[in-house]
Amino acid sequence: MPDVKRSPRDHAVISALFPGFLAAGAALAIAPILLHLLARRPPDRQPLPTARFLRNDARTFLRLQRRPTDLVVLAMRVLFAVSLGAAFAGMTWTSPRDGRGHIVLLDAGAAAQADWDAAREIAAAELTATSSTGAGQSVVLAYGLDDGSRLVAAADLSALSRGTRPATAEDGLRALRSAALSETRWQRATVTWVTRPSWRAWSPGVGLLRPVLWPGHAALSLVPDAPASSGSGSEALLGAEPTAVPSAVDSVSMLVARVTDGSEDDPLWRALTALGVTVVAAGVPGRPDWIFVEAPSREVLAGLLDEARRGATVIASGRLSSGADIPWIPGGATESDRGGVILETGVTLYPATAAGGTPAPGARTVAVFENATPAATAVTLGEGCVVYFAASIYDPALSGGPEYPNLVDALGRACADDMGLDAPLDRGGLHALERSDLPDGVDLTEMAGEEGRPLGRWLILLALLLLTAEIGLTRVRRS
Amino acid sequence: MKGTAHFSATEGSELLPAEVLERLGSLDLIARTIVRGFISGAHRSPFLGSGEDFSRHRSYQQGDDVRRLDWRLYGRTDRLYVRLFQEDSNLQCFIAVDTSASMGFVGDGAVSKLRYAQFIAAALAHVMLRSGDAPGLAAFGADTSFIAPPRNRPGHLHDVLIGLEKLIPQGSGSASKALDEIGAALRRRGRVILLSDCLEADDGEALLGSVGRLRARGDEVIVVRIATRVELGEVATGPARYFDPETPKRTTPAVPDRDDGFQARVSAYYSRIQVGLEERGAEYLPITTDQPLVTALGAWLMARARREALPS
Repeated sequence: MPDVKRSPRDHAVISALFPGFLAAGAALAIAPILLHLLARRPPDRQPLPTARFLRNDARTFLRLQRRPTDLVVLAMRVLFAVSLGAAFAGMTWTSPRDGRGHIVLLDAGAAAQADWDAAREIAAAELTATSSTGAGQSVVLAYGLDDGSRLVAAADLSALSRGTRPATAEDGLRALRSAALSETRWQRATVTWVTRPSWRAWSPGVGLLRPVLWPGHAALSLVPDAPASSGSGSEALLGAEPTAVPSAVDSVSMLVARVTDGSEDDPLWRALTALGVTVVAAGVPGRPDWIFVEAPSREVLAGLLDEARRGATVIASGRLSSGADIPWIPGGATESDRGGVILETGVTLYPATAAGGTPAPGARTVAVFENATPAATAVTLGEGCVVYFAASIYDPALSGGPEYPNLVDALGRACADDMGLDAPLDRGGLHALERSDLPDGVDLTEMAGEEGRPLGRWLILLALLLLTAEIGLTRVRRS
Repeated sequence: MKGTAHFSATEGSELLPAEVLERLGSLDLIARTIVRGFISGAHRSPFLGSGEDFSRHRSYQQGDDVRRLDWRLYGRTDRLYVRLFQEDSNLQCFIAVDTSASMGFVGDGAVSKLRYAQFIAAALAHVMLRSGDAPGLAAFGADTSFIAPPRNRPGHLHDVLIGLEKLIPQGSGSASKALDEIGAALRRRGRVILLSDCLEADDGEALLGSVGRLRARGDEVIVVRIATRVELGEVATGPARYFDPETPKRTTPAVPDRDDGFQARVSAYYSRIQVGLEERGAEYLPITTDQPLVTALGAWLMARARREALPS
């Protein structure tokens, strides 16, 4: 059994979003303390030679004796100030965590599991395998069920029915995060994801959400399409060697591409030529199959979209203005640290300077960057297709590499591939879900600290109670 | 004509509060300041008695009765002398100062009751020596001590003042016992001035008895009751565990502000003392420490001088 080192934060943690308010509350608490110290109080014993003529009035004396009551009132005032400051400071409470565990994340959505029996068997096998390693407790978390998601006991797994609606990868990630934080008390957790991810499970932006929702590696255990299908597990899709440059010359020899920018000496032009595509310059009459355009203006793009509706594939790249029928929502700052571009064939190109933005709803991902954010998206439009590449197609970092023609070919065939929504995710999509670059286990204590249980409303309630009690006690004392 | 006794305090000095006197430093200077305040306008000494046996002559001093001037001697010497009689020159006086722990109480005043009593004693000794009387000093707390015997000689005032300065409030005692011992010490008829808060353990019964005995043998007894307004319940005080400094272990949790009967009970006690003293022919002078000394003492001395000026 691996040695589990206890984190220094292996205990309940109370944190504040705005510690300044806490400091302000503490400063405010000094006021009643100062008033208490400065206020005059009757000495406990007082000499008075005519004391024999005083009436022994212990009751009134005790009632007017301020110190015992003062301490309670003082404590209430101090606590009121501190709790008010703490309430505004956004205090959160994170319960202590211990040990480690393994979650078998089972996709139980209707569309995701072509072979539900196989999926349950794989989940049970994963459960058994991880339990036998002694790496801690293992649980099965099923998502996509009609009642949402829940932990399923091993004994109940065989009787578990899948949901009637398809579930997305994002559903699974959210269920995983929620269950890991609220259903378990582990300090660290690892995940095996039993799924057959199709494009139906993909949602725009899931690549960006993936490390946020679960900042660790999730080993994919892929369910076969059908009982008869060959190969199962991630090796089936992920283990294949990157394909060589397709023999596009044969398949696209009849294609005509129009390049609106550049000349014969440009890398794009040369790549298309290498693919056997007939390249024509802008202004040449005819109906090309592919139209490449770099950073088109809104007017230019509108004209090209009309051509797409008539059957052409418009491949736009670089900076883009927002508009309808475009598979991309521009926005955000340009980023350059997303890594290389990964094609569905597994080919990785050199890092390019990425444009900001996110995929438009309904767009499918054609390529991703190494950080799992989409690099190219496509959407069918009329009889044609609109493709957007979130970098410059003329970027020297890309065009200088030997795999550049593969990118050009993938972009041109983005809508031509016969891949419906039920088709399995490509290698880039799978990578986006698996994220083998992230650490194996996730520190749940750290993750929970980001979203500890908020104490604000309880602190405000406490402050109100203290205020009410202080007012009541003060009135009683004065009466 | 017995002459008109008239005291008029010097403007300003009559308003001197105790805290101002305290700043003057020595008791001698304090006594002179007080006396100058109320004696400057006096036409007659308040303490001169009348006797039949001529004793000696003395230079005329301001305040002396002009009827006692020896006009014949004036005719011969062109200087004013008064004739002193046996009683006038040798009247033995005892100033008895209460030094029990309760006299150390300050209350709302600027000085303690004992310090206030010291001022009065110093002033009275000064006045009596000027009048030819022989003041003595006794103090009583747990025990009675005779600090200075009654004398009238140069330097005696100094002895009295030194003795007064050494008094400190402590212990618990009875004025009754002290008065009895003082009475025994007086060889003949004399005057006893008691400076005390008159807070007696037996509600003053023994004190009145002793005063009665002194009066029975012909002594003049003057009781100056010194108190603070806090003790009398005239100044509001808050809740506390109050204790008599003479019995510090016995505390009374009380709120004088809210004890309506407190002031009345104290007042009734002192009224009983006053009535008892007056019934026995003793003088009773109630003073509170917040009063300017010149005013408090001067008014009484003026009244006393006026009374003695009346034909008997």
